[in-house]
Amino acid sequence: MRTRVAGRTSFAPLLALLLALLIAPFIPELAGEWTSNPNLQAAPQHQLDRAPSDLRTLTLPAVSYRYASIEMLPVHFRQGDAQRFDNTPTDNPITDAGATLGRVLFYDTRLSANNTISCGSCHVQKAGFADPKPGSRGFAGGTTDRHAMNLVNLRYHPRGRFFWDERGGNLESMVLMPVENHLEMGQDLKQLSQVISRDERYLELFRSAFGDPVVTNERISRALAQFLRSLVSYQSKYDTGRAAVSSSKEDFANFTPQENRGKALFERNCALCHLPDQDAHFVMKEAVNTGLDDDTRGTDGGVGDITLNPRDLGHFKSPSLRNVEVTGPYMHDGRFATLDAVLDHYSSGGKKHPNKDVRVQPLNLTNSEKAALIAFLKTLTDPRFLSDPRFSDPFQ
Amino acid sequence: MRYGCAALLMLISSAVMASAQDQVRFTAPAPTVDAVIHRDAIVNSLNSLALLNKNVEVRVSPEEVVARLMSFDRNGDGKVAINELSERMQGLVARADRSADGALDATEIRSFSESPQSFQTAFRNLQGGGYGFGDTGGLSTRTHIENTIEDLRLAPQVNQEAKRIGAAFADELEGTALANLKRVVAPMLAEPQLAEFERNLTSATSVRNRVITMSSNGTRTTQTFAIGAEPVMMLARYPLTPEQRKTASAAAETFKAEQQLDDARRSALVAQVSGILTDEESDNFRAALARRPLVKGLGAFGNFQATISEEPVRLQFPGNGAPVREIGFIDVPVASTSR
Repeated sequence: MRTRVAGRTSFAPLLALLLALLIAPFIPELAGEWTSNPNLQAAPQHQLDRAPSDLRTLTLPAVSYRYASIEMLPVHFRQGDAQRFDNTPTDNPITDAGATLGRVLFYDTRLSANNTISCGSCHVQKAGFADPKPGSRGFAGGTTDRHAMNLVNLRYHPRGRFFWDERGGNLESMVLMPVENHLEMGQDLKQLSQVISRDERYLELFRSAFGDPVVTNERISRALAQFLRSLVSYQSKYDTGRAAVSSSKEDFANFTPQENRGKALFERNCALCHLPDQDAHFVMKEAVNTGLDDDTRGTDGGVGDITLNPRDLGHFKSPSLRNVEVTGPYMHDGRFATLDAVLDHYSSGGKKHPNKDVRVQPLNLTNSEKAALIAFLKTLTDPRFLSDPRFSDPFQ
Repeated sequence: MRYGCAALLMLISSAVMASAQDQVRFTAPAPTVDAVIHRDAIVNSLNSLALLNKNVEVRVSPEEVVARLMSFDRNGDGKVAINELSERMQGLVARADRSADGALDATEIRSFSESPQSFQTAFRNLQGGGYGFGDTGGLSTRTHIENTIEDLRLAPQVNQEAKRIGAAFADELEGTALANLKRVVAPMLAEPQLAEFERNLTSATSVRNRVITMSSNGTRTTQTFAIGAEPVMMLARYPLTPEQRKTASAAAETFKAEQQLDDARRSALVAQVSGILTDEESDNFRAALARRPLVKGLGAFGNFQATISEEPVRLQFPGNGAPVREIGFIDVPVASTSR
């Protein structure tokens, strides 16, 4: 059962949207009203494919969705090693109210400078919260040079560092970086709390999450981080099969022979990096150079551009492989459009970058091995996660 | 017999770089001894860990970092100003700009690149320890063949027959290699020494995995720790002349090489098994045999001190029933698991 948070009439948002779309091209000042930072240009018209969230109706369930409880997680998520991957800080645990607020913020276009894009514009739920395009379109029409990473199971990245170059120290500190980034969302963080607090609907959400309606950037960060940590995918075909056996190395009864063969190949050739020390998370423990470039003169130095450590050049973080079927294109720059292309890369062993990880060796996969591996990777798709209303856009 | 802690710390630090984060997670309490490990695990693992450690060698020089950063100097003034860097890199200026002029010159970049800054230390984390190839780190060819057959997911009877053929092939490979090695070292060793050497070598090569377990707030976990049979190390305990040692070492290297699956041996094995496999299965078998098996080295436990036990420590291994012999363990009491 759903109810509206605000007491708007059902016609108001629609009328406002129609009005805005009709007159906006002719009245630049109107765009200025949407723009928090008057020094920044309004987005090109082509970006306004969705109405700004403040012109839509915020619809939340009468009884909050459950984000905080973990009892529904399968056993292989809760076992000792897998549990130790959890990066939830003790001072910002997931609460239902906090994650609800984070969800609303995640989809609110007012987090961008000209009220045109939200976090959810580039991190698309049905794409595993990745961007289906190699580069993401920013608030002013520019395109990023990196692919928007998927946001699947961020809670279980043990190092708790984020972005392809791991410059984000933890979710709480990194969530506002794209908001502030001059290409991505361009918001002036000095104005952000004012922009948000102008909407009365937020006051109750902040009161529920933090005990009072005060809006601060820190609280915005904490709520967003809670929502992001709640994005846990655990209901894939793999999870069903894994729950029925004592070890992931056993064949799964719900798998086809090809999927089990692919699982065996994955365990042997990929798991050392992508499924380390547990069998739940499909994340890597550290950024790695996988031989995407020949040398250090590539346009993107990854972690090395942040640390200036010679050993880090060309190292990139890897997102979770959960839902990898839908999170393409792949790699930090989205250079590989398909999983076939990714496997071709690992089959060849990649290029001869001096920092290439020793684990990236030519696999020389046969065609049937590639097909089996892809069949297995597709068992990591979690349709419920990709359409879970708890994670969907609450602005109707 | 107790060894000093320094040896173990040197050994572990050679293979492990622990981050500040892990040091928090695995904070060791104040007492001087936090761990126990059997001495054979140290002796036999020296070579393996050295191999695994190759993965953390520095192969890009600071000069390359300098050249890369200076390529962002668009106006050619010899400095990289903050607005010449991409937004994600602009934090570098605050951290490396010693002259506080808002830009980085080559000296500042080089200095920052070479210095072990706290930021880098915290950033760095090879939590999984080093990685290396099983064929040089203790995973026998026999195990590689068995694993490869297992991964093919053959029908049960075919699987059994393929494993029988694979085991016979491995028997011959290992037997021939051992006989050749014994022929060389036998004149150099007394009879009891030769028996001991053969016993140790056979024992070591029969071990599939050796494990180190650790406890973390009461939670016991297990990690595979590949430790190779290292005949050169085993021969080191016997008094040989320099010439004998040179000859024995060469024979030991040959012993290892003779057990590797080179192209000819791989083809011979595939030919033996091909009668019971489909063409596609044979192709997959050949491809998988050609892949060098990767193994993981010692995990990063942070800084701790340990003592070394003379007696092998037998542990319960909660594995999948595979024949595993545990020869040592590290048991780290954890003061905090704060994240």
